[in-house]
Amino acid sequence: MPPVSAVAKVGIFALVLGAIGAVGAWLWLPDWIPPAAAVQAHREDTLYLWLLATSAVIFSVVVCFLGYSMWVFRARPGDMSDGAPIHGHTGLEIVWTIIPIVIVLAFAVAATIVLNRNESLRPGHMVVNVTGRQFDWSFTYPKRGHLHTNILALPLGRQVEFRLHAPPTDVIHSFKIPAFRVGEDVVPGTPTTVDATPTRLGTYAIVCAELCGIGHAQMRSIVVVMKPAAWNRWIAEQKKLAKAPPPSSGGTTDAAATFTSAGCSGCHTFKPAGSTGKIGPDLDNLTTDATKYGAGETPAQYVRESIIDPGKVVVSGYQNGIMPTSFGTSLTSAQIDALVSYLLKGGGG
Amino acid sequence: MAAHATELHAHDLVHDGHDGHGGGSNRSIWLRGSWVRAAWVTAVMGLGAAGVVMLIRHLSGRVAYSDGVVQTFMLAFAGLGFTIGIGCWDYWWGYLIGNPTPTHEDHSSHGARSWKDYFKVNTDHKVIGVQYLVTTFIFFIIGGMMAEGVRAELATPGAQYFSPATYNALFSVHAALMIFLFVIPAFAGLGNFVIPIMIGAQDMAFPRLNALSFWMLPIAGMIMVCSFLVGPFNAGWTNYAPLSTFGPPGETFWVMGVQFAGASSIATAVNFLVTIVTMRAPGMGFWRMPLLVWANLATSTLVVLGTPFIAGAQFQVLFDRIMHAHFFDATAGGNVIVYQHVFWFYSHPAVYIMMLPGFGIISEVLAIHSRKPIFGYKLIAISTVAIGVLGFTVWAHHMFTSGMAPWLRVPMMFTTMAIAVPTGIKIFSWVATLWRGVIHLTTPMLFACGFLFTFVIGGLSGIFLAVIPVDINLTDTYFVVAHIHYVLFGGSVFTIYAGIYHWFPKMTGKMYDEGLGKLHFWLTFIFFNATFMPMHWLGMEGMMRRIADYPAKWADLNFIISICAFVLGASTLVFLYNMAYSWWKGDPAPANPWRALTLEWQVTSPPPIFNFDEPPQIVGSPYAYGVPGARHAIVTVHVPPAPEEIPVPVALKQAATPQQREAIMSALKHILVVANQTVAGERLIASVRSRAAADPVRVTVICPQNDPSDSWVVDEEAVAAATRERLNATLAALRSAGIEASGHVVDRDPYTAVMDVVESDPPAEIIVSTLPGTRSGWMRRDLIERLRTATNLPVEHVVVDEPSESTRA
Amino acid sequence: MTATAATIDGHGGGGDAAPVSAYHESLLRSPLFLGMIMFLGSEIMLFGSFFAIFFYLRFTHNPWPPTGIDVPKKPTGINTVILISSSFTMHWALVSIKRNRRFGLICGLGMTLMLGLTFLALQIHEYLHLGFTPSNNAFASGFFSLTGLHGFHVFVGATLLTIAFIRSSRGHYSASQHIGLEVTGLYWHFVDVVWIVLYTVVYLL
Repeated sequence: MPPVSAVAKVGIFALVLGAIGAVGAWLWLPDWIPPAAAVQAHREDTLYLWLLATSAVIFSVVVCFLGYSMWVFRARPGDMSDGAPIHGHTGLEIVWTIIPIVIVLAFAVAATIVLNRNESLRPGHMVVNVTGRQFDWSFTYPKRGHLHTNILALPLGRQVEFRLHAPPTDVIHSFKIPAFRVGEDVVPGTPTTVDATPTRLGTYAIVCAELCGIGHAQMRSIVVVMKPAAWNRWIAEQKKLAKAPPPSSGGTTDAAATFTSAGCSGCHTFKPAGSTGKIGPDLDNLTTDATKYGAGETPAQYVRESIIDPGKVVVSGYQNGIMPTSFGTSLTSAQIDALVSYLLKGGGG
Repeated sequence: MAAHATELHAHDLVHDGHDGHGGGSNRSIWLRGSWVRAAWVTAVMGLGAAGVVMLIRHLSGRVAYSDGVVQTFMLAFAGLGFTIGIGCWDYWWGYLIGNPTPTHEDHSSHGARSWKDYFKVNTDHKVIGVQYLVTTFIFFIIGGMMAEGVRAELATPGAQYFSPATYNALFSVHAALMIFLFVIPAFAGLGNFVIPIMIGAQDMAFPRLNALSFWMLPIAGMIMVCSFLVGPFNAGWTNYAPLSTFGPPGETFWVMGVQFAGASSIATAVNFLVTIVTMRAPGMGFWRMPLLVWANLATSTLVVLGTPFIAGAQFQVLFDRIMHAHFFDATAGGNVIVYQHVFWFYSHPAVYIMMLPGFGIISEVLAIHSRKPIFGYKLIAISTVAIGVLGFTVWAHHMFTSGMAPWLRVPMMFTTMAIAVPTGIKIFSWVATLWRGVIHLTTPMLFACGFLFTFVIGGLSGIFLAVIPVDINLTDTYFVVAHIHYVLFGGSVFTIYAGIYHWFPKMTGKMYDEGLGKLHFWLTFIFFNATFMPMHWLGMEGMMRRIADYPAKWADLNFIISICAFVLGASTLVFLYNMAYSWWKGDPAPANPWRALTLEWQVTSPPPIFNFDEPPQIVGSPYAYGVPGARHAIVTVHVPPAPEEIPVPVALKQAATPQQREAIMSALKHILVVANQTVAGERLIASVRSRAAADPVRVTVICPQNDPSDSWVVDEEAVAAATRERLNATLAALRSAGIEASGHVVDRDPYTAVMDVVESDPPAEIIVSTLPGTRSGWMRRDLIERLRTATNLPVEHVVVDEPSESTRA
Repeated sequence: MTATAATIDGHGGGGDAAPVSAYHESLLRSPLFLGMIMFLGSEIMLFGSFFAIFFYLRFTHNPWPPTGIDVPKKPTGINTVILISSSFTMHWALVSIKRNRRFGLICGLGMTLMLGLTFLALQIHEYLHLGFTPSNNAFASGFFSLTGLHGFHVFVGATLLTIAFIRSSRGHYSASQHIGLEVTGLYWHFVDVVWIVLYTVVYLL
């Protein structure tokens, strides 16, 4: 019969193991999950870390006792004896009722505080109206002359209230920006809101989180977080574009539309499309870049590859991981072909 | 030569027996409850309903055919037709048309005598339990194949095998089948087999309702699978409106399938509740019930009170679709979010409906296989009830981002967190049960321990999702997919496996192959974790659930997950082979291979048709392992008395010619035995034997079949066959004791039948065997007195008071 | 023995559960009666789900019912009285059989059945003359689904009453064995109570 101190030994071992797991999670996690790009995301990640650390300890305790019992108390062949007739232990049962109560209460209170902070609107916040319909997103900026765009651009450091709505004849969507750790359903007939305060420059995915039909996986867009000055310029350009339809030259109209709707114009400067984004490489120099970086490839091959797999070759001075990697699936092959020839024609001129 | 007499008299019996299938006065296979009748009644009622609906539409000036309306009525009536055709309503029919209440039970469709009985309507809870389990595993395989289809599509980014509509249908039907046709009914099946025996009852409270509940299940499953014929439903198993109200025609199939499955589980739950409340053996107070019974009590309450809400929600979706109602139509005063409230008000308790019976199974398996009392019995029982009650207060935690009233979120978070406490208590108590036990790592025990491992993960990830800010980030991502599979696969399916391995010897009377069982466990355990653990990571990285395509950066992880999912699927084959082969050719199982205390292990494997010869007396805790001299129950088993030596009429054996036989026969004392249900009763046979010991006798046994109060029993063929079988058993028993016996089933009421025999071949004595007065139809009409007066012969009345005694010969 | 009696008598819901001992004379000890109570719990929740949606819509919309929709409060009020009085005739039937008075039983059942069918007929008449259909707006959808669901229950109740009526007129049931009547009565009272709630919520409020 093992001495009572076996409980203590296994318990201490389990706690140490759990603590190692917790610390490990703490050190790893920030590399593990996508970078947090909003105030709300940081708060959420902190909660998440605490949950993970606590879980590591609880998991370790349960599994250590389970594993120890299965190994040490396993029946030897032919052993027909019975175990110790222990029916319970009131003290122990009270302990493992109280400790979980304390833990979950702590998390519930912390969550309530985080929720209130995340959702309290501060003076000076801006408003963006978001419309979700099968299967695309569109955005309007009410304070900027109701500018209407297909990608979202936000100034760094300013709280944004997204007012979400879907046409009453549409289905439920869910507006979600994983990098901001926020999201809310877009409900036909019921306006909803969600807010975020971006804190990190870059381009992040906007996805639909609620099953909305056959195009659900493709219902994506991007949000670009810019410095306030760049954002103001961007808004001004978009307004200009909205007034004058994009210059069309022959058969490139479709590609020009794709260039805007897929969100390329948000980040790239490209004269034929009138865009002046500074986040990605200047596409007016595309032919030069193609010869420089596309080792042994035709310019068309290089451009195509860069659209589908932007991380493969990164133009120096620009950051990897900003441009979405989903164009290979969100655009049709024909659209990409058209885009490639449009870009090369314009960029070469 | 010795067998001559037997052959002579057996002739007409054998003839009769074969005749039963061929017609005569019996109904043909087209008319009695059978698969043939099920097929044509289903077709006639389904098509008939469709025709009537189309006619009405035509007459009222509409387009005759409309997908929704016609399919709704066709499915409803075809389903009803199937239950009628297969024979679920036969017994009730007489009652419905106003015939007298039957005064006794003929047990004609009770218990399995051959494998064929498993394909018929049967009222034996053990047969129904096995029917449930086999059926649910068929749908488990179908649903599993759909999951493999989903994983095949997701193995690489981009669209490969399925269109988005089909992909959405695959995961929708997968979830629907797994929830409504596998997990919930599999627990109902295990409960059906085990619970009545565990509480010392002979059957469920309403055996016929039990049969009807089961037969609605294949209907529900077939309807859901058949939605692929018309355009499968693809709005997810949650079927959120308005996506579902706009959906393809298969949505109607989903709604009707859910209604049949829901009706089935409500009926079963009512049955369980009444059974557990009213039929526990003497001495079994609530604190002496095994924890599986507690779990079933809580689960059944949840089913009875919760399931109507999904029925309601789906009815309203149906109304929006076929009547153009506007419940969920924002353009005409409807509201989209209310669907989710009503839906989750059922579907969150449904999670506990799918978990609590598993908890019960784990409590049984852990205590028995670690030879130790369950740790903290009362606290586990109370926490089971607490989970059930709290389960109704947390529904909106599925809706933190749904746009519902924001104030509702925080209270729902607190109640959700509160559920973690009783769940934690259970897990800690189970681990403490293992401590200092003598742990036999059999397959059920391995699954129980594996369950503890996986369920802790599922429980902890549940706390992540209860914390609102974290849920806002993780909801609708693969983190949720991982969580529900850790709870419903790592939780429910592991416990179903544990339960099946644990009770397999009891159900089949055979042992399963331990080596294959362990192989199955390790394959399942390893590849389950390998499949679903990385999904947590994908979710945190922002991969949404229910997407047919995803960015290329997640390609590697998804590929690994898919490979593991295929191996996980293949591991099921090991299980199926083990079950099928062991049932067919496994070693015979002893009555109590695990040396367990609970009642189901105190009867033979498989248990006798009526489980117990006498109601057992419960005297102690069901888990008192290691306590010297502790007992849970006293079970009395009737051992048939050893056959006495009876003087055989030697002359008869030596008789060479029919004439000689005739002479000897007439010299023997003639005894007439009148019995129907009780014909094979041991007391009756003993009574005849005691006479044979005194004088040489010959016996005529008649089974009057046509009792006026019983005349409306519809399935005459089955009743007659059962009676013949009992008669044959009696004759065989008498003959083996050397008594000259002949007999037949007569199509008369008992009084007339006796008078016929008295006229043609006057007996010296009459023995009438019946059930006790309260249950015997004959006794209510003073049969004994009338016979004594009319025949002037000694009439003995043998009372056989246990149906088990009468049928178990 | 007790368990056996319960099994046999409970078989199929058709059997008259004969009380074996005084202990068993409480109705709640009868499996059939207990089962019906639990089933009614389920029914309450089914109506609850319909009411829940109705209330949700009601409290998120103004005016309610929408302008242009008018429900006939007074004629339906008369119909309500008809249905409620059928509960009393049902009670009469039950009291009669307990005292072994067959006339009261048959009359009570017959009147209950007639009142129930009258209610259904008036309800159908109301449907035809309402001036709106389920597809008009959400109120109309809720109105028809609630009254329709209730109407279906009245129909089921009337079917049970018909069976009980036929059996009574054939001389079945006795002062000691009438669990089938008890159960039918319970169901009928339930249908009445639901109507009172429904009338208040849908017509009056």
